[in-house]
Amino acid sequence: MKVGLEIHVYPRTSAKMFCMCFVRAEDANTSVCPRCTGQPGAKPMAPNRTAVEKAVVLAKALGCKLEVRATVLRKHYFYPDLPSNYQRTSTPIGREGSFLGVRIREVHVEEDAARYEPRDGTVDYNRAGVPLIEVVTEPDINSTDAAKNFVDEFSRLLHYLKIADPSSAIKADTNVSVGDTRVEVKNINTTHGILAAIEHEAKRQTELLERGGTLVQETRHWDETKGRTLASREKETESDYRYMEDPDLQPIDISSVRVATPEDTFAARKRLERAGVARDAAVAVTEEQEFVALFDSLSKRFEPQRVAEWIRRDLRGELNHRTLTLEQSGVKTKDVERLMDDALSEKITRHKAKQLLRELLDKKESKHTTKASKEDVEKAVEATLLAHQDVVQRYREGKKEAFNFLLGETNRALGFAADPKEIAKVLKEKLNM
Amino acid sequence: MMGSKEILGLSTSDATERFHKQLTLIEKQNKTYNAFVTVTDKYANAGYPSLAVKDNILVEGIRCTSSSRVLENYVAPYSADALHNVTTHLRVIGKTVHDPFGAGGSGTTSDFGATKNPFDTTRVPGGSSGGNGVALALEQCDFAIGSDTFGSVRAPAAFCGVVGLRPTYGLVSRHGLMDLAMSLDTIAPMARDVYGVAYLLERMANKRYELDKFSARGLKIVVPTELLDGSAKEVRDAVEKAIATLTDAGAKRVDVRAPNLRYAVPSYYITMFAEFSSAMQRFDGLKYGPRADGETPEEAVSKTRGSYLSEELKRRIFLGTYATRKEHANKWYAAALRGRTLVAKEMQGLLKKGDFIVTPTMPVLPWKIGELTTPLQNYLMDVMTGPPSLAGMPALSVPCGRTVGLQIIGNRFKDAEVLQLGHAYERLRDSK
Repeated sequence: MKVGLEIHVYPRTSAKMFCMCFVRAEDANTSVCPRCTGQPGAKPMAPNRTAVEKAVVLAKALGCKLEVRATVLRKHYFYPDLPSNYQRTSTPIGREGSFLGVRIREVHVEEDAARYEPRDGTVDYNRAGVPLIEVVTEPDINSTDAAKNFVDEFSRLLHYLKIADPSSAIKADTNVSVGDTRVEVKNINTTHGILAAIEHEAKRQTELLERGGTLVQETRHWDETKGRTLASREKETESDYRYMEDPDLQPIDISSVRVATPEDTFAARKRLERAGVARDAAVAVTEEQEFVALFDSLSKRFEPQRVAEWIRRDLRGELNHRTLTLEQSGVKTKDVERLMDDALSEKITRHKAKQLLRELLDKKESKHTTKASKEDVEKAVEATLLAHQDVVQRYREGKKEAFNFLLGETNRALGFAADPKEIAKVLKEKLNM
Repeated sequence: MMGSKEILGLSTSDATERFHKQLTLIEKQNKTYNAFVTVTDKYANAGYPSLAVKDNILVEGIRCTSSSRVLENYVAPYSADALHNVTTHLRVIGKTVHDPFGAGGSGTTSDFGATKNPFDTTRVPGGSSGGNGVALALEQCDFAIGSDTFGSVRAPAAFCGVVGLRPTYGLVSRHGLMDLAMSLDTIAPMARDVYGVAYLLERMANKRYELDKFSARGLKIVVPTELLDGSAKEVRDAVEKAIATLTDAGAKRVDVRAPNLRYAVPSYYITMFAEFSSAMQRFDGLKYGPRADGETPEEAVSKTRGSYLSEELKRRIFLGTYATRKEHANKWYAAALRGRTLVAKEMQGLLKKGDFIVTPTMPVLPWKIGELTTPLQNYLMDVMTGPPSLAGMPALSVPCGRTVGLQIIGNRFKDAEVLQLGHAYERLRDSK
């Protein structure tokens, strides 16, 4: 089996490719201007620099040779989702890379089309002109496992290098050939869909061949809800997009793009493992550059595996719960580092540390940074007993586990600032009064 | 006739009065000359001198047809960048007729009727910015902004006896100018004198130009002789006289041969066909203009384009589509780019032999409407105005006869110098 991918990534940038419109908007057709709706006379602005930089970072991370310049081309075809009936797409920014043994043919930038709903005949131009980075692989993926590994690691890389917009999925087209016939599958809009489409298509082709059928070279569409590929209704015609250099735009000067080449996920992972971090923790920590920065700083003072494990289990756990990255949470890495320092040096309990972390993430000011006084504890206990009289009743009826509930409630009310033993003592006194 | 400088110095009330007189004049004459497609503000308390804007340049809130039925009812949602600093000092009096999308050299092919030469209504005004030339000549307006791709302000300037400048490519923003050949299009000022053109360019390009401190003494004027020899006798005589006026004032004439300029017209037309066909893709009837019905979307788009685009536009789109087809791209488009480079190099070479290149603007006098029957005959009229366009150079047309223009070409971004020489020539011409 031979599989190649064309992956479309929305780079992390706020503006469209050739105008200043924001890349997202709630209501249809609200983030639009004369340029991205292709009004007569409107001219594109120079390509979004950030999008180009992200493409360069990706091309470098995929081991591509960078071009000196890339030209913006117009690809012509008539379709309601194209404001001007041509799409702007660049010539390769990088070529001939390799990722997990899969050759990367090229990386380039382009603009997205509008969102067209054929059923109601509406077009939403909010998406028109949104930047895209396209990565084209050679058909070197030879199993569904390899495809899964490729897609997983590719997604991790995009995330780690801050290339992809975290709120947008990646899109893909793929070509699958079990025998000698190449079948293109288009319209895949999720990471999960890429694998499902490949698996489905490979199975379909294999079964067809086993039944003695013949495959035709064709383009099929992925139907995510049905989980299968469907033959395109459109005729297979030799399309000529009449590619032409866009006379409105200067070539993109790639050689002037200066971007740092951060350590990629593989190198970071290897480094962590060498420092004694277990595989699963190393993989988790290398999900985010911020995690690695925390690790690098704290592993100087603490045992690396402990640091990594804390990040994996506690920090990442809390973030995943909120579907946030550390960067998105807006919490300062410095604050997390201080907290982890206290936790790892056992100045505060793990429980307390987690509580503080939750407060940080939920943007609540931590009220109880110092230990609660005896008076505070007594007040809190009284309040708890008052609030949970039914539980108190059950305790008095002999349900001993009710005591733990009351202890927990009081502890929480105090922001975990008191010694639980102290609370238990006060609680017992009051209950037995 | 009042000069641009005087008009700009009019009091608010005098300017308003003049503006209203011009509105009345347009109303009276437009049936005959057809310079305006839209008159924008009949009840204006104008307060400023009048500005005509070619209808392929967008002015927010005003209908912008590009003289084509595909945009019959299109109201511009934004204004061209180049107008921002102009409309603060001039009042838009109307939108002028031109060849649709600037695709024509006669000024007579608008979907809304032909424009007539101000001196002889049986003759062409020159194009594509024909309406501007006519409106200025008839004093229906005092300033005008057009566009010039391959001669579109210079040709009507010559045929209507007014002044037009194609600025250096890239000096003035094109945002808001409808596409013809994007790698060559410019927004270009027109007026009845060089002062007026310089005034407009200052505001369009955000520059200051000093016209007076200039002398023709010691200047070297390069004259490509084959262009002069290939012109009609009346044109040649008028231009020779103009050159003599400059040499009398101390300029030195340098006659040269420039054989590579012959590639200008074919290189341009192929480039333009290709770029134009791409630009015109957007007119599919889905977003603006009238729409034809069809069984399938493809059929609807095809019928719309078939019914509402003029013959000449369709010809250009077909040729452009043909030239950019995968199998032909290298044969035609790439060859055109090579031809373009040859012409640009030739022009740069000529400007190493002197300070300015001087040619006639048009090779002939205004022809009779309907006289040129084939597209090719029309295309060949661009032989003089084409080379500076391909070289991206500024080129000014100043009248040196009633319907003859003297074309002054300078190096890229030497727009000020070109205007200074034009201004100096104007004075020498008028003092005789």
